Amino acid sequence: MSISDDAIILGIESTCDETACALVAGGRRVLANVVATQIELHTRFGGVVPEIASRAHLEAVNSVLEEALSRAGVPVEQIAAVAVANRPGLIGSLLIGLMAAKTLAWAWGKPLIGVNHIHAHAYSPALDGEPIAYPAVAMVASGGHTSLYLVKAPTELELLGSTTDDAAGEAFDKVASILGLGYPGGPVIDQAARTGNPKAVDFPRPLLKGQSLDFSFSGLKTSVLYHVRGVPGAVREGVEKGTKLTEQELRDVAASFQAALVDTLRIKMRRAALATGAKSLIIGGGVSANSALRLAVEELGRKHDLSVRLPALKYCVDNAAMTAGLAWHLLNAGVTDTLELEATATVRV
Amino acid sequence: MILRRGLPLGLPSAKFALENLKPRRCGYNALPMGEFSLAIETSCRAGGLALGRDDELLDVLEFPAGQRHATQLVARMDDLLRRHGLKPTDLAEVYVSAGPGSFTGLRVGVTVARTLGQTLHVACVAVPTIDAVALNAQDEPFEHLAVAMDYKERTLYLGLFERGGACPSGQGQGREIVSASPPKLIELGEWPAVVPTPALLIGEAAMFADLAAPGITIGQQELFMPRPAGVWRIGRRLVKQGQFVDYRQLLPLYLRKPEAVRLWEKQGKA
Repeated sequence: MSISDDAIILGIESTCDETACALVAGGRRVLANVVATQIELHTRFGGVVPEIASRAHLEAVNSVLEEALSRAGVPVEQIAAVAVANRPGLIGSLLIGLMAAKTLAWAWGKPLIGVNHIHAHAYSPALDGEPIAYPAVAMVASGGHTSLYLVKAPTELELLGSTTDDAAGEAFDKVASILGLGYPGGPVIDQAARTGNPKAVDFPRPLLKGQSLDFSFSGLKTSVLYHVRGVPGAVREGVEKGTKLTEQELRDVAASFQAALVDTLRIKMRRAALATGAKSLIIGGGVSANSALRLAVEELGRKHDLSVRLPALKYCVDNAAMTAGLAWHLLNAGVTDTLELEATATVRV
Repeated sequence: MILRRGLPLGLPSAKFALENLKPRRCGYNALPMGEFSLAIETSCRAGGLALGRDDELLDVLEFPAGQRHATQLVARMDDLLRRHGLKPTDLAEVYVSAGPGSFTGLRVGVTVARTLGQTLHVACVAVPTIDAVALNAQDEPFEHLAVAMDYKERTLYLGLFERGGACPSGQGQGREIVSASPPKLIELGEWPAVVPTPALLIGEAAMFADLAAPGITIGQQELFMPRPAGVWRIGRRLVKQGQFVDYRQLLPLYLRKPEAVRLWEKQGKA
């Protein structure tokens, strides 16, 4: 099935704690991108509470849809298909976007397209930009995922590695909590690290031996915990139990943790790029907004003469523009779903 | 009855992170309203759909127990309308079972109803699920009717009903079942003192809590769950009373705050 170069897809996203709707023409030209965030609802709990997220999505979904349609100014007749991120994510959250998308597709008589949310993050740097040069190595890192892919085409991804425990964004949240910096952890650690010494503490860089492309961040998080609060049952030289860090020490710990995490991501990307002969490096997901990671990937690209594609900051967070953008390629390849499309909380690829 | 607005969390609403937000005329066109009504029942493990035209119930599609509503609901709506030669745009009203009931099931049904209201300009009606369950006892003999639902943490949602209005057939069972007092959440310890006897008891709470008591007859289990035809009939009744709900205000009836919020409050952090 071949569709018009300018075909417009309406996308819906509700995989975690953002309710979003977007209209995208030709897979890259974003006509409207509306995101309702629930951060305020979850902040006091220090993380996303699935039940609260599920309720809030229902309250927001139709307003977000209305706003996106209004901002795009596109009549229904010009919409080629309805796309929804139906996997992976919090199941109670996924279902709201899925049901809204199914109802729209049915009421309007449009094709329905289920989109892998992580694959959509890997596509996000193409939004509002030029097409990505493939094959590419893509690293998607967020609060729920850390995955490394060989991307041969927008819809053709091969999983090279993923986290064996905590996601990178989860590590940011947990370390921010240990340091008393608040939630969400990514932006506050990034901010604190700007005036910290990244070499102050030599935190471990996990799983770097051999050629593994998997990740593990729980040990890094625990190292930060032990550094800050002392090792349980042991007396560590220089760390007195209950001692509070000074402001500068806190910034140094934040910078050192961030450096360890970014090093790990960078080294795995380099390893994957050299092994696969990729032309481009891509990052996506909430962690791709981290300033140190963006600099490190740009430097990596320069060093190895690889094209580097970073998503605009507004496309690092969960959004529906990436869902609609990737769905254009799926529709072009003739991939659509029935009204019995399911939501799936976990997927391997 | 106007459905109580959900999310009684004392929490701020989701905040829009929009750039250059300016109100504009909506870009999509209103589609013509139809003349048929659709009832959606997804508050329990079975559930189903009912299709009507004016006061005539045309068809009922009962789902098998254990069906995944999120997977099947819209596809079965399509089936039901197609077998009557109808399109989505032929719908004028949607009656959705609004709870209490399954947390996920309710949100599936309500999302569909809201989105139909938004896109097809279908008038939405929030049917109190307890009223639909009460209707199951239409042909049962009783003096007082108690419907008990959503038993959790030693509380249950209780509604009391009686027969009201005219008695067209001269038989007690022919009269309409109406609410005797507004349903409310009660502590298990208040049961059965709040129920006038003799009473017939129905509702799924009777499967999970020991509600046997003198003067109370527990009905057959097939009367415990809401049926799509009952949701449709209550929906029609509410339409005649003009009790529509703006789709933006249509939310499930949540009886309890989210568990995390209750724990938070219990710890005195509120």
